[in-house]
Amino acid sequence: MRDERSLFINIVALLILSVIGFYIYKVSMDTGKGIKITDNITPQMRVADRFMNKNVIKEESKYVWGGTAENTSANIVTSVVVDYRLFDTTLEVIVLFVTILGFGFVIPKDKRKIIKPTTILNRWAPILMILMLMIGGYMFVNGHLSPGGGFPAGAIISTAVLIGVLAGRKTLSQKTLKIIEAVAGISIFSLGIASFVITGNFFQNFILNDRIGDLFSAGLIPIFYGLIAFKVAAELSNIYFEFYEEC
Amino acid sequence: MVNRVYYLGLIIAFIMAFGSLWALLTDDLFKAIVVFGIVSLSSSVMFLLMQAPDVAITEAAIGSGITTALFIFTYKKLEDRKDER
Repeated sequence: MRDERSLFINIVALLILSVIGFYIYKVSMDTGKGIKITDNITPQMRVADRFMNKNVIKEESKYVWGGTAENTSANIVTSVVVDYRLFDTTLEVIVLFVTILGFGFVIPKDKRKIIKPTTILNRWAPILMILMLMIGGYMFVNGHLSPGGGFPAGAIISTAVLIGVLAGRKTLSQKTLKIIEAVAGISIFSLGIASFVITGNFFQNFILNDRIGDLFSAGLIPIFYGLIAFKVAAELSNIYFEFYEEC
Repeated sequence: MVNRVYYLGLIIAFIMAFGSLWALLTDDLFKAIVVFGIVSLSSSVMFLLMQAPDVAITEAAIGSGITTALFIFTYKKLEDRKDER
């Protein structure tokens, strides 16, 4: 019985891997030159090209991408949100933190039996968790190229933990979550102070010399988004574990 | 093309209005929670039709995923209290 189950899981994993491999093959055939992670010479299929060529005024007019703070990233909304208005997101994150502090006091602790989940949920939970983690990681890595960002990425990553909680698998300990949250919060504010020392403004981008539209560009924006994503994911997962402890 | 988006938006707005009324007026709490999740999912489609993909992603993750899960956790806790009495 156990061998049949592991065989089934292996078949499903092979199917998912083959789908991913097919898409990688397709992308490498489209560019014609295989996969190059850091290709600085002939970019043909970049995610950001659709954003950079988008035009709402006229077909023939071209926007000039320069080195100022507004257009360091291909997605201008992101550079405005992160460079100018990161205070919004950090204060939202602090509000979430205070909410979770309140959870521990308000919810009464009483023990209850955990209902065992069905076999389907228990077996499919790791596969779904891997998919969720992939989507969440894509969100904050590509936050400066396409729609997305730190906050929804953190929410999607925390839904992976939620699936683990629903399937009765305890994936993380609460101490790990608290360490992740503390490290992310401290590094957000220390980066802010560093940018205040270097450029004179809080949360301003001080790494600008990159080619716009690449994956490794836009300076501090992906770093800030990654930190925010980890902090939000840790905070939201804390809520689930707070419920899970006694229900 | 514009017409098609317009009619899709009309259908989704109708679903949202109907679902929110249903969630208000129903007596069953569980039904209200599920219908509330459907309303926020359709509102995320509405944001996508209004060319705001960032907000649509956030609404789909938080509004229809996490909020519904937290409400269902709370509902389970309330039901347990009811059994104890």
